[in-house]
Amino acid sequence: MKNRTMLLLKTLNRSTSSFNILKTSGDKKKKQKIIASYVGFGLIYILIVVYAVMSAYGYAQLGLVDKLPMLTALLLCTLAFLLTLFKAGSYLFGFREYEMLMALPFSEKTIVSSKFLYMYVKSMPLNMAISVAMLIGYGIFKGPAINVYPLWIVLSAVLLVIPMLAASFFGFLIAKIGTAFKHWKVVQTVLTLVFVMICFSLRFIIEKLFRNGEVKTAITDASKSIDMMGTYYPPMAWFEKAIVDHNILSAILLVIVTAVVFEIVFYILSRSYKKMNSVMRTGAAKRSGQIKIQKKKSKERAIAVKELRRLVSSTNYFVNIGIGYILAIVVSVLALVIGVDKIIQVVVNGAPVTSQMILPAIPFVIYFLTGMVPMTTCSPSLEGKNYWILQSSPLTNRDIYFGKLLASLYISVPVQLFATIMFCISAKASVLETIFFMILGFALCIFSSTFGLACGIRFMKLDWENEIEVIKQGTAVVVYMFPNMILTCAMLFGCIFLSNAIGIVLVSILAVAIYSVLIFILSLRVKALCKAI
Amino acid sequence: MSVLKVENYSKIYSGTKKAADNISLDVESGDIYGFIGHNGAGKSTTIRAIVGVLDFTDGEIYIDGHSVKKEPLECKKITAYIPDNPDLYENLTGLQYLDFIADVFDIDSDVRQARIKEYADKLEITDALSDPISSYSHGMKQKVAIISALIHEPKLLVMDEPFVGLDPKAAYMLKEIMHDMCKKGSAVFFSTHVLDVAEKLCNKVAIIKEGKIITQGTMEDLVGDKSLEEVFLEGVNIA
Repeated sequence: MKNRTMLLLKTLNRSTSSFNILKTSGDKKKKQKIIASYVGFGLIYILIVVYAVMSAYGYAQLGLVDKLPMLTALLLCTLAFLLTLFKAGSYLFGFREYEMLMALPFSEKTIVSSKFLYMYVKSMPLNMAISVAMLIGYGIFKGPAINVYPLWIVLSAVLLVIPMLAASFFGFLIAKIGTAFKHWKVVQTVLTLVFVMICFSLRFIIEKLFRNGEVKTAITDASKSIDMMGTYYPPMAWFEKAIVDHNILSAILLVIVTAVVFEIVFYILSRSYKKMNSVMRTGAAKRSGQIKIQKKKSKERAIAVKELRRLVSSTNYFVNIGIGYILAIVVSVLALVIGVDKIIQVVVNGAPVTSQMILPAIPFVIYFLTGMVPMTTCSPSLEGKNYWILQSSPLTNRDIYFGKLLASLYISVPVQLFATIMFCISAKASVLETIFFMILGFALCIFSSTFGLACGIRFMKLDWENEIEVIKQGTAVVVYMFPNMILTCAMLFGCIFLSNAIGIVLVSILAVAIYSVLIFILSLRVKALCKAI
Repeated sequence: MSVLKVENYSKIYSGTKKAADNISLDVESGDIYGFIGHNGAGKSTTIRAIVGVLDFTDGEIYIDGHSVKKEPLECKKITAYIPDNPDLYENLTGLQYLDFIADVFDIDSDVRQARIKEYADKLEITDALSDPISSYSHGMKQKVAIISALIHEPKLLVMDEPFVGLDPKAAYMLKEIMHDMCKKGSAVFFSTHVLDVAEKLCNKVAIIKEGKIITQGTMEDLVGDKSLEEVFLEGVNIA
């Protein structure tokens, strides 16, 4: 009998592989979309590789070339942990084909471990792009022995497993605690958010630990700090020893410990897997027998309310979309309580930046959090198999997508405006500046939601197996994120630079004008896309 | 000999709500057993527990003598399940999906090819098997699910509303297949709302209401000179 885990893994990969659709589908439009997404992802991977090689060059210039393996390990482990944290719950529990798989002769351990491996394989292109790029940098500046190259690739792939297992285990614990409650979804969402916030806070604490003091000292002490990482997390030290010192024992140790941790984690997970899924798939029934009369709403508002209900009903959706907004609220309240300067010092690690320097760019600083991923990038795809409900209703595409846009604005506008007021009070902005920052913030919210919607409709994917595919890894999300990030950075620095010459208010008016033009162009694009569907 | 034995099975949701309450059933080799009840009566919950998808609070379920709780893999190897709305891997072709199921049940290539061809021809879906499942209608997906259920010649075929979405010819073929299976010593257990079909097809039947079995037995004993519809309505109104 074939290895069942591998058989299931192969099928899971095949069933979600766009290459399989490309091979078997006769739908030309679908094929074109797939090829376009290949090109898009290809460009992004090229950008990542260039960035990683340049980073390697930077470290080499600082005389830290020997520390590149450890830095690569740190980067890979951190990324693997954080990215898995957001999606593990959705990949491992409550997925769509659960019933079909559970009815087949697969053990719980086979199913849950295959799902984990599937998540691992899916994350490989990004992780390997970083790993190989850093290896190229290491190869250029260090010139290691030939056997280091395959060893680096294999061990960096192994290195990812434990952080992913750790994140999955935390996801499992959160789900397990959640399912003990009647309203498990609420408990699970709150616990996930708390855990993510702790991870974000830890990031600053760790950075403070490694870089205490000024930037110059940080660079001087970097070598020591990097070595410290290995003592906190031994698998990274084993990776470094295997690469730098050619220590085969360290390589073997890394592989064996990873295999043991894998076995232990899936032994524990499989024991309560069925019970947890049973709870997750049934939900709490509340049969009060009463019918609450709802207020009549317009079509657009009805869709917007439906979208907001969809958002709060899914832990993955809420955590991925909501984290930026929650962080914006937390940071803005902190700005008011402890002062915006203290927050800036934490973020820039003691670099000489003051609140007055960033004052002209306050709306963009907040937008970095509120505009990360708007709901509209994934809400069209999230309709999935239920798309027929909207399609068969007496709604125009304009009604549908305007409703989705409205839902996104219902969340982003209040948060952006609230955070702007908090920051302005803390940074002692004038009333006029505050008003213009609020207008600019409003424009940014409309831009973000409209741009997200254009991407969401253009790269709509309804045949997903797991909602996380469109929430976290959808082409629409990726296509939105990168240009938005680059534009925001350019506008942020542009505003700071120009405000010295023409003043904060005029800069804000100019920024509003630029975004108004962009919103107009994007609205036309959305209109065209609505017609083309 | 019992192919499926359900003993005092209960399932409680959310601490108090009993979706299934002390259910006992006995499905023997050669039986076509109908499981009847209105919406929300507990049919699907019971079926999901039988096929090992849902855990349960009390009681035991045995398939061919194996406990669903203690030997789930042994049970699943001899069981096939067709849900009411089969969620198949949409991006696989019908054939790729059937190949996957055949691999799961360790079916040799020549045997699987012959069985897939036999059932695909009977259900008239052979030509569509090389297309992605995402392009299938509900009925076509149901047909692929039926073939995947039969590919390993199960001892117990469990189905939840199997006739929904099937065209008349496919429904007829499924009934024929069920009869053939039973002749070979297997058993079929299925839920349905269509009482006429149950009356003509099943030799045994159980009626469930609010999680409790209100009556069960052979079709002859239960119906007598009435129709199954009358028996069902009497049963659910009295209980």
